[in-house]
Amino acid sequence: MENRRSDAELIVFRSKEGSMMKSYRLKVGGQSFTARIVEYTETKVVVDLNGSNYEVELSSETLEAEPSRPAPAGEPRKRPVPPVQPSSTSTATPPPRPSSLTAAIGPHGVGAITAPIPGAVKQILVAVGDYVSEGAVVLVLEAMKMENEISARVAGKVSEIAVGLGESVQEGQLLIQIEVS
Amino acid sequence: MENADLIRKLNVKRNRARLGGGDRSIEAQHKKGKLTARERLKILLDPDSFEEFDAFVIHRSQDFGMDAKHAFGDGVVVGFGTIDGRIVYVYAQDFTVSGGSLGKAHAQKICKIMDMAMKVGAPVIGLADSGGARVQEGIDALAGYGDIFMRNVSASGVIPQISAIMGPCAGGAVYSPAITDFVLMNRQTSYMFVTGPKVVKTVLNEDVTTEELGGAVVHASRSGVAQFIAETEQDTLLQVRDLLGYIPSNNMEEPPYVVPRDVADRRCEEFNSIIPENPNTPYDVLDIVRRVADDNVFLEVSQEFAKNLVVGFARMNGHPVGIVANQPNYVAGVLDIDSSVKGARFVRFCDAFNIPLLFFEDVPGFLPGTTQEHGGIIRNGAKLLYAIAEATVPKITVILRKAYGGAYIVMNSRHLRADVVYAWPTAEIAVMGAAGAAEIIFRREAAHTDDPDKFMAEKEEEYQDRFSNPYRAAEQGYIEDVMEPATTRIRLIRSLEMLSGKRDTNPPRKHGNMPL
Repeated sequence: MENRRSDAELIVFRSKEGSMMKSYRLKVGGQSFTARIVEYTETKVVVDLNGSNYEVELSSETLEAEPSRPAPAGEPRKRPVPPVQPSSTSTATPPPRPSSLTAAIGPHGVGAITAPIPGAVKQILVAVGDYVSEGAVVLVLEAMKMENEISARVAGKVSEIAVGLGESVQEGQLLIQIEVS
Repeated sequence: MENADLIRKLNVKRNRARLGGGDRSIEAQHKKGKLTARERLKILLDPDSFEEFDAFVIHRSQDFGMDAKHAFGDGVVVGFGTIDGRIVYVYAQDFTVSGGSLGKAHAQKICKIMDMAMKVGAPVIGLADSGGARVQEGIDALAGYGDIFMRNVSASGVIPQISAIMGPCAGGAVYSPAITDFVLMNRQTSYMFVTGPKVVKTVLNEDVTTEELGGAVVHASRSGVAQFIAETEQDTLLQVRDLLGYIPSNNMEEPPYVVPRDVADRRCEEFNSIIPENPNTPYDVLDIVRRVADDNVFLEVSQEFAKNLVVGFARMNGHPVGIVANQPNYVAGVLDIDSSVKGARFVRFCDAFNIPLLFFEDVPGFLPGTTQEHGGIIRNGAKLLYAIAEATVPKITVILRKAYGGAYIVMNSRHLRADVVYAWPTAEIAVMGAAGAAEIIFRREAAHTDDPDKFMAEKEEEYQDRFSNPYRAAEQGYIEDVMEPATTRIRLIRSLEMLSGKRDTNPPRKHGNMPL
């Protein structure tokens, strides 16, 4: 498995638009792998690659050079990812636990809007690329028979809508990602 | 020696004591954006009201060269002063002296003013800024913490105790603030944890910064340890003054009355249309809480923690009240583990200090799911129930909209000794929402009809008409009245006046056994 350390570019295919935490098909130097995102923040991704955990650092240049655009319907979205480095922890250990602060603001960073309660997505009020102001209602989550208005905690550009209309979500699940401006 | 010389000598010594750790340490403190202990007391207390005790105390430690290191005051400034003219006892740890570390003499100074406060019946305010136990003093330092904890516990529910964390507060030191009634934290410079990042790294191999581990944001929003968070040291200290304005000096006093500027018979016309027509649409309960209160002023406690239950202080016709309100705007206003614990602690504080309680109820129930059940929503929800049932202060409920199931009983219902329960005409006092109830009662029957959906819709409407209103409860006398929302403030003030002479007790016992 030496080629895990190779600098070969990875192409990440999303199996389904916005289906975070699902499996991904990777190609490393022509060889296929199945990967699952274990943790996702603005700066790094922890990937479970055939049962072993790896940390992938996302450089800010990459994020800016490739602004997220809505993927055309039916076409898988591509995003280049920097080379994989085996994480400092041994492959047998579980992925690093989120620290207290990231727990306080959610595991996806300040721009992430997560579900505060389990429920179903009733309305999505923004589209990828929209600019939202702080406090703007971006999504309606039906839970406890209430149409809960979910608002943006920070101003910025909507970079990802991670859920679909009618989808059931769990507490803490990423709903919408905002790129802080 | 002449008297004048003696006085001069006193002044020289006093000035030395007031310098704490000396000019250089003071400068270092300022560079960190922090004030000194004495500068803080100046902001906290009324001008020129501070009287210091034990300024000349020094430690008696002989080990590790400590016998050569003496500073007057031993790292803490203690005494009394006034806030809005009321006596308060204060201690302020002085980081400029040995990092504010706590040794035997330091602890004895704190204990002395706590003992005085208990005798006099006045609040104790502690300003924490300490590196922790003074290791050179060994077990004497630990003994000092123990003596303080014991006094914190004895004073609990007798005199108000307020802790403002102005700098580090780590290790055993955290448990004194934890026992006190309110913890305030400064956003920039304060942190609290039982074990610091270095130990966390050694023991768990987890990398975490001081702020991530125990900063003000974490404790105000996530752990619930801090009830207030302020941007600057000055704001933190002014918040203490604000807070004290609602609290009596001890458990035998009435909370402080101020002559109201607001009128008692003010109608709130907007309340007649504030509840959305669609029962599934949220609204901000703070719009109701603020408008009902004198001058629309509401001091929210634990604003960032468990936002589905709003708690805080306000005045009604000049008299302080504690307000507990479900917040439909956040996770539907459900009761969950965090909100139950938050509410229970607030209710017990108000009950201990004779502050009447007002409940504004719009609750769809307890939050279902494995997270909550496995986290112990049963024993945690029971805390809120227990606290409300046990409270003997005047307790009034206004049911705004949903009052469903067990949560209806918990939110100060008649059955938990509420004195007065009002309902708005929009109230739905029922076992559950109409759709859910119809589903349970008529699902089987619906399957045998030609158009089950239509049948269910009819049954839902029937249930809605029959039960989703306040009149069933009113018929049984479970609520005192259904009132026009615009008259809420007027009716509440009248009821609070009616209850001002209320005396109620619990059976004599050592103490109850709340499901902690």
